[in-house]
Amino acid sequence: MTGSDSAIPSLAIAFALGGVFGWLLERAGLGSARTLVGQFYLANLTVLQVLFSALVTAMLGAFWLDRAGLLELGTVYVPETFAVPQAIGGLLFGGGLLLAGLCPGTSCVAAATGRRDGLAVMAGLVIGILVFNSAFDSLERVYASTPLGTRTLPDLLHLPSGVVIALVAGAAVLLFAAAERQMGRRQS
Amino acid sequence: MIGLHRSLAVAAMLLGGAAAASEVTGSAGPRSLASDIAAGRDWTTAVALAERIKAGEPMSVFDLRTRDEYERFHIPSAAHATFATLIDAPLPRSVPIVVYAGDSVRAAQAWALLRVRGYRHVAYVREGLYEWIARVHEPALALDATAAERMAFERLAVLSRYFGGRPRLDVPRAEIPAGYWTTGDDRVRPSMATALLVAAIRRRGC
Repeated sequence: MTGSDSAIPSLAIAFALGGVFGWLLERAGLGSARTLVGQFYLANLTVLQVLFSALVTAMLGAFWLDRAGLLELGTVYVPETFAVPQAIGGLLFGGGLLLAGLCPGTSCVAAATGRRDGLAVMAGLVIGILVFNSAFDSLERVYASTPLGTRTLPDLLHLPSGVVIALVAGAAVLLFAAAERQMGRRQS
Repeated sequence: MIGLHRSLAVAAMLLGGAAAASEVTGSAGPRSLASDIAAGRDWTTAVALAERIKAGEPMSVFDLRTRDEYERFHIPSAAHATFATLIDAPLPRSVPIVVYAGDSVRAAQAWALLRVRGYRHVAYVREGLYEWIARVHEPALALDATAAERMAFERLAVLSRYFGGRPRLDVPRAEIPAGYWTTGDDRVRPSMATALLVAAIRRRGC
C-alpha cells in the first residue's frame, strides 16, 4: 500500500473520530461559552469533568489494550516537549479561552450549532494560523528553543507507568467528587 | 445518574489499581515472556530498525558489545551498554528499547532481562550487527538479480545511503546468503564474523 493509498482511510477515520468528538462535546454542553467560562469562576466544572473523564478513559483504555496485545503503546507517538514555546502557547491559549469562552474544538461545535460567537472564534483561529505561518521565519528560534525531548510522567517520577496510572485515576476520582460537591453547593 | 457516576469511579479505581499491581508485582513473568516470543514480539529486523530511526521515532538503542567494538562501529543513535547498565540504570519507559549485540544470544538475554525489569516495549535485532551491516550498511545486489530483488535493493540502497552506507552492486550470487531477500522465518545466517565486516568497513574508511 502506498502513502497516498493509506492516507484515504486514515483521513476517513480522522473525519469520523472528529465528528464523534464534536458530537460528544456538544452533548456535554461544551458548545456554550457560558459553560466554558464558568470553569474559571468555579461555577460550572463541566469542562474539568468531561475532559478529565476523557483523559482517564483514554489512559486506562490505552494501557489495557496494550496489555491485551491489541495496541502497541510503544509505537504511539508522544509529542516532544519544548518548554518555553509551549509555556507561551499555553498562556496564549488560556488567555484566548478566557476572552472568547471557547477553545478551537468547542468553537467548531458552537459554529456547527449556529452560534455566532463560535464562528467569530473560528475566524480568529484561521487568522491566527495565517499570521503565525507568515511570521514563522522570525518565530522559528523561539519555536524550536528549549527542547526537552519526549517527557512522560513515569520517566519524570521514575515510577512504573501502571503506578502513575493508578495515581492519576485516583486523583481524577477525587477531583470529580470535589467538583460534584462544588456544583451541588452552587445549586443549593 | 449519581449511581452511574459512582460505578464509573469505582471502575476507574479498580482498573488503575490493577494497572499498578500488574507492574509492581512484575507482570513480565514466564507466561508473558513466552507469549511475546511465540508472537514474535521479542525481535525486530535491522531494516525495520533503520526505517524507524530514519523516521525520527523516539527510541533507545543499546549496543551490548564491548566498548572497543562499539567505538569501531555501531548503529547510528545507539549508545553503549553493558548488562550491568541494563540491570541498574533507570532507562526511559516512554520510548521503545532496542538492543543488539554481535550475535542474537546475548541480545536475546538482554531482552529477557529488560522484560523482567518491567520494560514492555523491548526488542532485539535478530542477527545483531551483522544484519545491520549486511542489509542496511551494505545491501548487496547479485549480478543476476531478479526484478523483485532489484526493487527491494533500491529501497535498501536509499536507506543505506541515508546512514552513510555503501550499497554493493553486481555481487556474485554465491556471496549472497540464502534467504537474503525474504523476510519472516527465512533468516539471514551470518556467513562471516561481524568483526571481520567491521574491520573491512574501517579499512575502506566509511
